[in-house]
Amino acid sequence: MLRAYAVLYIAVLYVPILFIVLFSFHSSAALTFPFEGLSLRWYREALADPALLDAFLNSVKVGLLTTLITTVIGSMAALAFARIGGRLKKIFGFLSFAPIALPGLFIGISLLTLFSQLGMQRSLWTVTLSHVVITLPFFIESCRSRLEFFDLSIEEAARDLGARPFTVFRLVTLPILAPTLIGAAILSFAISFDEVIITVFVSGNQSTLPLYIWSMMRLSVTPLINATSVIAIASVILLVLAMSMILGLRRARARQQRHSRNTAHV
Amino acid sequence: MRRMWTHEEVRAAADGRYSELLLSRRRLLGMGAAATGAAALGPFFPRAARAEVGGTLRMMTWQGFDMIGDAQPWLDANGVKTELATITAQDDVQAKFLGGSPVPIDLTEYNQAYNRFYVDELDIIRPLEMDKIPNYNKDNIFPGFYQGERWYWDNTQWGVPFTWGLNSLVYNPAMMDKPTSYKDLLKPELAGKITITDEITGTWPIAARVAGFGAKYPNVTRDELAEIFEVMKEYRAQSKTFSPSNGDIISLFAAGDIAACFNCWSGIPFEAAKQGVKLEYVIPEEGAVMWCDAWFTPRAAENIDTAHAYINETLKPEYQAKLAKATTSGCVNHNAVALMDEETRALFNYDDLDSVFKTSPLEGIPPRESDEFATYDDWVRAYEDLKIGL
Amino acid sequence: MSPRERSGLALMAPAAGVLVFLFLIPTLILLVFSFWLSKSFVLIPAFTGENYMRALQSSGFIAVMLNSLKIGLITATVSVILSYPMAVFIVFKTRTNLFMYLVLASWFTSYLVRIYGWRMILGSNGLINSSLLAAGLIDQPLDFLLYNAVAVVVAMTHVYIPITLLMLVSALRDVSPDYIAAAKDLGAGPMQTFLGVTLPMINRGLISSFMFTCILAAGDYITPQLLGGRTGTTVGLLISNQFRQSGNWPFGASMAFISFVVFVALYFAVVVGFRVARLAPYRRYH
Repeated sequence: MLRAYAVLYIAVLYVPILFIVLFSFHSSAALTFPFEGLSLRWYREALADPALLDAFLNSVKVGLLTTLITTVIGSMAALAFARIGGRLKKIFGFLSFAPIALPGLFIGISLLTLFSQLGMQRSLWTVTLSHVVITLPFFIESCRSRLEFFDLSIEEAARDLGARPFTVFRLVTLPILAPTLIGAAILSFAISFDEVIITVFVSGNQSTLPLYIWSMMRLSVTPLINATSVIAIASVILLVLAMSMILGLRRARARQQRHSRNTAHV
Repeated sequence: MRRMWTHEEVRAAADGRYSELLLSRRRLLGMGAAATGAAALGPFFPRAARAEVGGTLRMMTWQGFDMIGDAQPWLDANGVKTELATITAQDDVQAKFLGGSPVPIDLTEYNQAYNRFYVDELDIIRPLEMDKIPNYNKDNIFPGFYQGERWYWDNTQWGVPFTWGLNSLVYNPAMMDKPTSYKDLLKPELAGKITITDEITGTWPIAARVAGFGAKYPNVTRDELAEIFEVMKEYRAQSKTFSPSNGDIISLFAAGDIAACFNCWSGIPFEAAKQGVKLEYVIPEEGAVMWCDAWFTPRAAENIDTAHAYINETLKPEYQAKLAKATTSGCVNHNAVALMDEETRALFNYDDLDSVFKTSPLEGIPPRESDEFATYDDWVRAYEDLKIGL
Repeated sequence: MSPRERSGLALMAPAAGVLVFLFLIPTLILLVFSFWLSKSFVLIPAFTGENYMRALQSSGFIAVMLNSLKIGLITATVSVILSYPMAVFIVFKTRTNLFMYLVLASWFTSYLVRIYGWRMILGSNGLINSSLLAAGLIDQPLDFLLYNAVAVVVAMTHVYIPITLLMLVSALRDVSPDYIAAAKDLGAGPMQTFLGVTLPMINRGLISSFMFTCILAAGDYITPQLLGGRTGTTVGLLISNQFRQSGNWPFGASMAFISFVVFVALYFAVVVGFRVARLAPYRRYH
């Protein structure tokens, strides 16, 4: 029953996306029915556009760096919630939620003001920093309850058994929390990869992919934007798969090591 | 070279006195004088200036208007690399230059309506050194686009027009009869079948004309403004949506969601034909509105000589003809007309541009400050209320 | 200070630094601006509540604000109801993360492109109308499918549901199946188990999930513009006009702060609502 619902949920989620993919192969320039025939022309056109490639690479760079920063400081922050208390916890909790409650455009303007005051040139760096401001709340919020109530006694037990703090973190805390952290990291990447409203203000003269798509759409909405989007999602999924395979391999190896060590103890 | 800062500005920056930092008329006067001085000295060093073409040219244009593809051989020959950012709305341009550390863009464009605003109030345009743009001359350029109040005043050329078009009424002949006036859009059978382009430089003057105040625009009183938007309420009631972009309008036509568009870019029938929809543009009795984009070098520009050389290059007939075809727009160099294909040439009446200027004038924007007339801010507010449906 | 608290402070420091420096300080600068005056892009230092008065007296701003809130609340409610069973499935009924990753992957298709995807489905020549016409069930395209608030809610639910789901999942991961099993053993029905056991444990995550979705949907000004037809004007758009077109930063900032206050108030109202309904404990049971 529940499984059927889950399959349905995914199916409904992907129906519009399937149409986006289908029409990326449309032989005519229209994004309406009837579907006239298949063609690769939009892919050829997208791949022949160097500015598009630049924009895509910029978005990947910004997305990866944003995710890295957010994941590191975000998981630290989420772990911190279990350790601090009282008023400090309330204030920090509010601070890590507040950026979401303000319009994105406002965040963009306020960051622009800050960067101007500091004399910082707008570039992909300022875009990255700005993205961290909005991905961080999502990251913290989506792991906080998991990490906050993470049973500290497990860590304590490991420490009592003589493990160093970092070893405890690597071998005990991390494996338990990994699925939550990975999910939140992917979400952070996705948010950064698709952000337009703030990016307009804080970017210099290097475009990101959504900015580029947005400006393509000003001129005409054709299957070209679909093809662009399909290329982007395909590359990103490959990237994520590759990274999770690397992570998975390392985790498997760690498990193996742990296993052999345990057997050695016995 | 980076622009020099005055002592006052540095102090203002240190004090965080934004008002003085953002804009100051004093700075404009000072910079203007310095720049005119430089322009006067310019002819003595033409060769030296030329030699500086090269490096990276940072541009910001509307999608499809950069001409980098056409200019590639020239760019390669001069060792110029390009970096391109795209504009999604004219406001993007000012957003790049406001605040204490503007983005160092060397070359970008402005819609004619923003001319005085950019120069007098925002002070983000650097005067052009016309000796470096010899192709912009009386012999090459249509009289309507040579100098002219939108680009040239105070003995200074602020922008060089390079592309233009018309905004008027576009309709789908399969869904309605040919309209002769905007009033035809109010017919009951078209209810929910029109869209209004959500773009102020065209929609505002056309709204004024529809209400009978076209001759006064952009200077109408507050009472007249109220009347204009009272009339516009009828058009809102007929409309399906306010469209934020040309691409959006084309997709509405292609989807069969609308039959006509109020204040529509004349290139839309051409673009829509690619999607299999046959549309026509008409100039109704209220006339059309001309738009014209001009190159300018911002105050924050660094690679100034290359920017000038690029402007000069792209005024050549070959570039102009290719751009007109690619973007369904008009050219400013009359030598380009002969190089165009039939379809591109037929877009506008090049034989009698004077009459085009007469029926479809270049429009400005309402005053930023005025006691007598409705200000830009008043218009924004009235227009917002219209969209909300108050 | 205990070592645990000290380590907590150290762990918190980088994120707190980022938030203070890149969020709090710039926001405070704009808060100051919101009490200033402006003449087209020129800021005039002052201390006046004029901007706030002007916003609160503007019937347009209030109407649009209420409309945005309504759309946000409906989108969030729909998203949470649709996602809760999915979250239960992901956490308790399957051992793979495949479903979660599939949902997250959907986010990578540009959100702008997905909006047009909905036009392909709901438009006059779209999937639904073409199929109904071809089947002979209608002879005129249905035009109530698109360009209204319903289309906006449908599209925004589709866009933001990965976030709703992710937050629900991480909240549910924290619920030990033992508690639910225990409740069942003690004879509690599914509803009783949900209200008495699960909900108190996930209330924080549930509220976050609801509020994040609500705020994102209420603040989105692109989807309503493209799919909302004449109802497409939103608070975000009004604020954007002030910053980008009128150049009245103080007024734009004051509208942004008003909407901030409304959202924060809504958040606390939901939290208090849960407590009053005795669905949220003041402290954790476990």
